[in-house]
Amino acid sequence: MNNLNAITTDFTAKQQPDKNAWLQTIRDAASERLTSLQLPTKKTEDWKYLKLEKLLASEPIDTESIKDLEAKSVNDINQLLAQSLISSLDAYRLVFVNGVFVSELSQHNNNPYSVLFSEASAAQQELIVAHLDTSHNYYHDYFSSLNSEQFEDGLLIHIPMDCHVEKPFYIVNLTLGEQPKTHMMRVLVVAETGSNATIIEHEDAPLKHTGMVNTVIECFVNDQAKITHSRIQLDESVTSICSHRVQQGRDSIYQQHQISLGAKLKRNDLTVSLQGEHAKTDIRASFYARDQQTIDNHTCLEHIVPNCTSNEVFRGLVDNEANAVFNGRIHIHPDAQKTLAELSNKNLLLSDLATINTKPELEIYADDVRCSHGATVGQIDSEALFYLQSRGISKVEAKRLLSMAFIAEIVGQLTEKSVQEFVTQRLSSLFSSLQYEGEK
Amino acid sequence: MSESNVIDEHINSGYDAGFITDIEMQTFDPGLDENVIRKISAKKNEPEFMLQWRLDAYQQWLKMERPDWAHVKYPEIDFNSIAYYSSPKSQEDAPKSLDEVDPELLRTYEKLGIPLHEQATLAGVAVDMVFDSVSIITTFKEKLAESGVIFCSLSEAVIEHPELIKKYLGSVVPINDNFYSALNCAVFSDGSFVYIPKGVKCPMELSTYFRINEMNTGQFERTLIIADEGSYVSYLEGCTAPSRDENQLHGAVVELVALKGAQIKYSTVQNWYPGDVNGKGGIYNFVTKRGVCHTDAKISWTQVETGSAITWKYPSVILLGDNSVGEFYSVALARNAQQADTGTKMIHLGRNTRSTIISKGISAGKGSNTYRGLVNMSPKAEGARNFTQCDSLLIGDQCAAHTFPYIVSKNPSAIVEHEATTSKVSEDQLFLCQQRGIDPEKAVSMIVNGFCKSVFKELPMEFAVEAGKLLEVSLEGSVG
Repeated sequence: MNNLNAITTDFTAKQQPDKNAWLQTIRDAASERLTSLQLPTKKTEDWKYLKLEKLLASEPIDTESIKDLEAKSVNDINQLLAQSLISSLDAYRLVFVNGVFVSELSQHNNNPYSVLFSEASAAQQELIVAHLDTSHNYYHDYFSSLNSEQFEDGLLIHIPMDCHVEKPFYIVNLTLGEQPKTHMMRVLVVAETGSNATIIEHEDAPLKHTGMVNTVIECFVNDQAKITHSRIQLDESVTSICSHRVQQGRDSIYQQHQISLGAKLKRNDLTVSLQGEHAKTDIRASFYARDQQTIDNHTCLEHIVPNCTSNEVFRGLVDNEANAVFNGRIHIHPDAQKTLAELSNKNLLLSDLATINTKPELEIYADDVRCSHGATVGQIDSEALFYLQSRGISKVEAKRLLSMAFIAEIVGQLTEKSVQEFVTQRLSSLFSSLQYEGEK
Repeated sequence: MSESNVIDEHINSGYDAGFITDIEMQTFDPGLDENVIRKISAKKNEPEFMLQWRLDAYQQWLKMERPDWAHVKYPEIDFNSIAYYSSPKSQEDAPKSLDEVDPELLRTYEKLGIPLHEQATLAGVAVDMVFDSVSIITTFKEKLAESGVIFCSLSEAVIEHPELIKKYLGSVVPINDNFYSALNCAVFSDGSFVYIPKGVKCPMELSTYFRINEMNTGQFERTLIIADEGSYVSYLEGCTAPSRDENQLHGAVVELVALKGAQIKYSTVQNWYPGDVNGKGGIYNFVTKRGVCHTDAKISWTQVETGSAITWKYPSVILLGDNSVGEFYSVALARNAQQADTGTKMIHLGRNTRSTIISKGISAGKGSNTYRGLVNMSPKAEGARNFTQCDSLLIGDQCAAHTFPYIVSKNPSAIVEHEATTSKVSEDQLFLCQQRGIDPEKAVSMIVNGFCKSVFKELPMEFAVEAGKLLEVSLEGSVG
């Protein structure tokens, strides 16, 4: 056994099959679904722009880096990993490495709200079984079913009724190691009536390993509850597939800020299902794809009941030979009168070899609604570029500034100051290291 | 007046073109195999190359699957229960002039509001009529010939201009393009052929009128328009069919070729029988329309779609040459149980190509209206530009409106803009009109007309009037 495994041994020891036997029905149901599901193909509408061969290709494993890591002690590894965390953030910090909880890196004293599935009390087990895999998923279920069948442990965040949690939950998933091993990450959030909490989710690959992560997050935002959810995706080297499902009750508010700064392949599926009247959803996201990266974003807002409001803004920056996809669907069900739904997707294409595929969809079965969507694909505004140049800034620098500003708007909307600073720093170091094609 | 009454009234408003013309017809027995294709080809005295082309298409069609991606629902079509050829009997000795045309047939067209003699002269419109499967007569042929324009039925063109047919037929919509276009290639019975020589501005609007009359027949016509360098043509197309309880299939193919600097303006007012309130009967309109634009050329599609039980139609433009322009203006109305899945594809291949898409969808009753479009900026489409606007208007709480725009951009200097809105007739607008003494019915009609105005203004004048009236009749009495 090497040290890389050792940091997670502690957990694996607990992983006796009988210990989590109460999850068996969920696993069985997932296996059952998997028998009828096939791996999506190019013909699967929602997957047609994703180069699946890229997903399935076996990568040459960087044995040097792994050996290097294996030679290190557990403490050294932990120290290394700790550097990638937002240390100044005052939060309940829950750190996972390859989907496995690492208590040495975490800070969660006096945290009555979250628990690992493997440590759940009987009441919590009951809560988990009642919620897990019950949220509506519009998308092809193959990978999320795989997760349900195989996840080793999960995290439950349960906010009791009318409880306002002051400190945010800071969930970190770090990827170490190389493909083909897929790591499963599973999170379940249940916000009871009138509760309020902030969740910050941070995905990173500090050693630039090319592992594969399959994440499933389910959020149940009950009546009058409010969840603010920030998703910081910085795992540039990783192949990551994420199914994120939100279910909202009456008068609830769900806000999401998402920043993806590239991944070898990143697939984000989001289904929000508005099941209680006067619920509000606000999604703001930006992504930056470069080199040979692929970012594939799919969102579906299901307006099932009347009087709900949703607003979605997606910004994409695509450079080099990257391929980016945005597919935003708004589905207004027959009874969902008085719905207000807006979606906007703006993209900047920076290179001749980059591709953007965008498809904002509306599917409307009710008449008294106001829905609109807009999508644009363009390039950096030449007048803005000229303005900066006329102030003595080089064209390359001006281009860099404007690209960064395009993404940074969403950063400014993050609720936690320290997260903002952290992301800004990552962003500027990323942009300053970039080589532009120069004058063209 | 209660809202529901008004909506019911609008839903039940009639279909004026639903009569049946009783003339002796010659119709093939239902069914499709190679023999039927050989018979169609023989009937039309086609040269060997045409027959081979058809048989090739048939073989490819057999291997193809019925597409199911459109947002429409309908029972499986039994392609062997359809008769693939039907023509008025007198066709055997084809008429040489208007006087020889079966008077009953002429009366049909009169009822439809196209008295050939007067109106055509007044409007300066040359009409080609396709009745069920065959082209009946082309008016103003001689006058057109003076300026070198060829306007005739496709079967005539196959015999008289085989070199043009060989070169262009199937060049825009290949025979294996899709399920319905392959079927059309195999069994197409007739259609219109237009050739405008270099530098000629066609002296009058050209027009085709399609009518399905016979029961259990399918109409598969083809239109091929070639505008040679620097020429201009405006072409109109209208369609009607009798009201019957059975569904009938219409699978047309339209190909446009705009050579260097040419302009083609193609307008359609489609009013096939839409079926009754419960969706019984009506035409299945599965149409493939596509044009290719060479350097500096322009193709403009304008369509008003009020009929058909199911519309499945995507008039597209391939912007092949530099600086070419593609336009698509559409009003689609789906009421009763009508389903429309329509839109366009703009494929930008050349530099500085431009396209505009304006789509207005109106859903009423239990109608379902879908806009499905593709804007594709290829890596070579330097400086290309697209603007898309698709708006939907909802009338009644059981209708549906969908938008599926696909945008693919592979060029950083290309700019694509897409906007879509969906709303009902605004109560503020209605109130404003009523407060000025306009009754609600009229107000809705005004609002809907205003909603469609940006498309109607693209139609030739006579058609714009007809389209406006058609919409008014269809929406009679609807108050949002």
